[in-house]
Amino acid sequence: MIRTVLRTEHVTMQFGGVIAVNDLNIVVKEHEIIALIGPNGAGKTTAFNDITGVYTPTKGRVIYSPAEGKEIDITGRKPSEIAQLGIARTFQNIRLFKDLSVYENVLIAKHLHLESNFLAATFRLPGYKKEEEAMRADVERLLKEVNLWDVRNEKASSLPYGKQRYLEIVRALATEPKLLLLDEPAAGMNPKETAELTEFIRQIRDRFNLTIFMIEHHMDLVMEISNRIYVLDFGTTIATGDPAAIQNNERVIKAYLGEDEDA
Amino acid sequence: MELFQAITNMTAVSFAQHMVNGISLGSLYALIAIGYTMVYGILLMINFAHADIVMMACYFALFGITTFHIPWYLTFILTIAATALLGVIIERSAYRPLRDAPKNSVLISAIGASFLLENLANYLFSGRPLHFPDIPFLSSMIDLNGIQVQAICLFIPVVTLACLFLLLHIVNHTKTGMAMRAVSKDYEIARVMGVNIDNIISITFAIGSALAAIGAIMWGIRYPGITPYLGVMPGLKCFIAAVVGGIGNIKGAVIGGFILGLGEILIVAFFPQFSGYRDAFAFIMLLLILFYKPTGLLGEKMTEKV
Amino acid sequence: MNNKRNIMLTIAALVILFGVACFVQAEVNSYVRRIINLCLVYAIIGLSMNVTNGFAGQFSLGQAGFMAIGAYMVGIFTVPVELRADVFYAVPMNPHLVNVYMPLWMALILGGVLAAFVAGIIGTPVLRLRGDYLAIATLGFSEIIRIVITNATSITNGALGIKNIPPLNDVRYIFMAAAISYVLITLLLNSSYGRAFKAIREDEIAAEAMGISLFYHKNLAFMVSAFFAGIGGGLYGALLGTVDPKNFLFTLTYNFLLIIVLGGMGSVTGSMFGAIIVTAGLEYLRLFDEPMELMGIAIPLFRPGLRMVVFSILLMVCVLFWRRGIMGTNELTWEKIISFVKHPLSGFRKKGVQGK
Repeated sequence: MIRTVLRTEHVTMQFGGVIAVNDLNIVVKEHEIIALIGPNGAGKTTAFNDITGVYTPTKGRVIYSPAEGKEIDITGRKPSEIAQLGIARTFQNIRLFKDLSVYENVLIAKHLHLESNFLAATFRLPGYKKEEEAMRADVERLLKEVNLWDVRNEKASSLPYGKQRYLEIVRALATEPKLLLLDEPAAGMNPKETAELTEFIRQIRDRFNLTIFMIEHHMDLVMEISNRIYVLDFGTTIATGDPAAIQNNERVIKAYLGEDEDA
Repeated sequence: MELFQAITNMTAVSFAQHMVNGISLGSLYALIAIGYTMVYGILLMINFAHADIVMMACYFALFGITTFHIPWYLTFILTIAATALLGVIIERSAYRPLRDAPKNSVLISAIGASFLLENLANYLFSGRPLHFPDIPFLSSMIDLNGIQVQAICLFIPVVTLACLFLLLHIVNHTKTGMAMRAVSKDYEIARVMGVNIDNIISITFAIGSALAAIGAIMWGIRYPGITPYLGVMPGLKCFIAAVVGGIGNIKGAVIGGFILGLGEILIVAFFPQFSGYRDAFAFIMLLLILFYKPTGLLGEKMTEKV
Repeated sequence: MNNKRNIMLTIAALVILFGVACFVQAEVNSYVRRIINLCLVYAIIGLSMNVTNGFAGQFSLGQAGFMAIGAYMVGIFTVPVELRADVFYAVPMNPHLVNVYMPLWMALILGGVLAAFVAGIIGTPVLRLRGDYLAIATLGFSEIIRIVITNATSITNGALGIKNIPPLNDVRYIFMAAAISYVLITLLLNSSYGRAFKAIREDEIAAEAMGISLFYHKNLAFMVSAFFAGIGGGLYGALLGTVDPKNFLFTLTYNFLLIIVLGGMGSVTGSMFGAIIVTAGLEYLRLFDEPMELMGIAIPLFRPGLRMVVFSILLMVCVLFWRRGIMGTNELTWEKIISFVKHPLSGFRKKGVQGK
């Protein structure tokens, strides 16, 4: 049987009187690409924030399994702890370290694996030096692989928009995650760029042995690479299934596809 | 147990005395705290200079009476007007140019403005304490059944509450007040809806500074040693009062002011051995409130959008 | 490798500067030495403040309090035992401390460690706050430290302050302390931990999502900052020869705020320039406080207090019109110096990518 990497159990998020996410039950299995779709304001990003510890769900649990036979309840843990456990994410409205270089952006993502303490780092003890070299070598390899090496000294904010999206994904990859959460990776991209991104997501899944959970509006991307799709509307899951089933689902068409023709 | 003993050791008269002191100090804090909370509600910044606006108002009143020999009641009105103007000038010159700048720059500018006012006062009026003139009746001591009270102490809470009700009326029942609430709720939307943000901000500073001037005048009568740095400690405490009450909330600021004023006086009254730590009380309150209820007693919950 | 070359150049520069310090110590009058020493001490404290405010992006205003801790450690432990009765004439010194003597360096380190320890205690509740709340809370703590010092009379001599601290007006000693602080802070900031600080400054939420613990790193920055502020404060006390709670009013912190704003928030070399300009400038501005005569006519403007007015206007002008300061978040690197020496004018043209 294939291992379930992430599972949400009855996750509910309430802000004052507003229920942003209601009884969310998602299962993400190893090596899958799962999509979460729904109209704007359906609660998708809130669901991501519940999983990555930015919010603590009002009700329910988030269970994460980093390896076979190991299950961790990550509900309400700090975002940094969750990242250290192997869940990385990107943000809907790109959150790069704007004033830092491309290289530094990615190098910073390696910090969570650092074992030397700050004194060892300050005094450049051999253990730290070795780690620093390994981190830099990793980042170099990664940046070369995704064709960002040539712009490594540029400020992150000076990159064109599309490249910033890629950089954010690469930065997430540098944390060596097992589960990658992408929040609208294709936002603002044209069809050609979206097609490239689709290919890229598939590649990194295989290359880094990832499980991917993403929020996306571009339906061609979603339909092409998702193993399964969850549809959210007003915080509630209105449909689940493979792309073909979702495309033909009456409720989904009514709630979502019917209104949003640019799909 | 110790508290119990301390209370029982105190006579009713001296307790009443402390209560009067505490309430009048609390009222003064409340008046000044309103200015902090209004500005924070709209611009999300600590107006560090507010404390020094209080100080400047004291000097305005002092010089109006002593140097220019203007009758005290007229001086008070002029002082309130001049202080409101000063508040608006500070906003225009130190804060408005940084409207779109990073928050830390605004903070530094506010600190700079505060520091400039202090140094300016020190330069112009010298660092030596000047004596606030005695005001007929208000400065005199009266005897209420054995409690010795300065007459102003009886007026301070009344004036404060009157100001509070007037302000609440303005905020809740006038067009300007509605615009102020709109800007404080959502700056961008208010702008789009056609609210003249710059005007509203100026009015906010004018009102806050005018209240500070009223507080300052009563402060001067009550504590007549006027120095360039007199606003600093009360200023910090009043900002804390605003945080305790729930920043951005006018009633909260008043409640916070009373808690701080009364608390400070009563702690010293019950535990004279801690009198040296009187100024630390406010900061401990700040930590407690931020730890247990960061939004303050009457504040609304704010969630940051990710 | 360029890296090795830079290290060698830095060492060489420090050695040369130490030589200069020795020369200054031997040849220059004590007034000028005092100003140079004050520059160096301010540089240490400015740097320490830049660690939290410029690099980790946490707006802390507690420097005066941490300095006070360092200064009082020097005051309490380095006054010669036989002179202590003179100092503590009102309330005798605590019997456990009255015979404890330490050499200066030990008291400095103790002051730094104690300041860092206090910062660690304060940091846990306070560093959860953002922006201006943090500023107010740290400022409040700096005042509380001062209040505690004023009241702990048997240890600190209360409001009377501690006199008879063996005066230290030795440029070599203070230069060494400043150089060591500079090197250690630079090494930390250029390490992975320093990058984590910068990440938090740039975007807390993204930094956290990258696995950087905000709690740990903010506290670390805060404690390191307090440590060096404590050392700087200790040197400050030794330089003055006397410590007094009034020396450590929170307005003292504004000096360092100006240093880092002027030099550039987030630039180590900027803090150095800032410290030199502010200290020398404040000293130079003293003539504003003196009555001045121009062609036999006294100019009424010049009288005590004008210096600080000019100083605060400077701070305002800086933040209103020159927000990046001298260096912004950049550093003066050997690469820039060398390329400037080779092509004195190209520095003005060069911009952006260095393709290699």
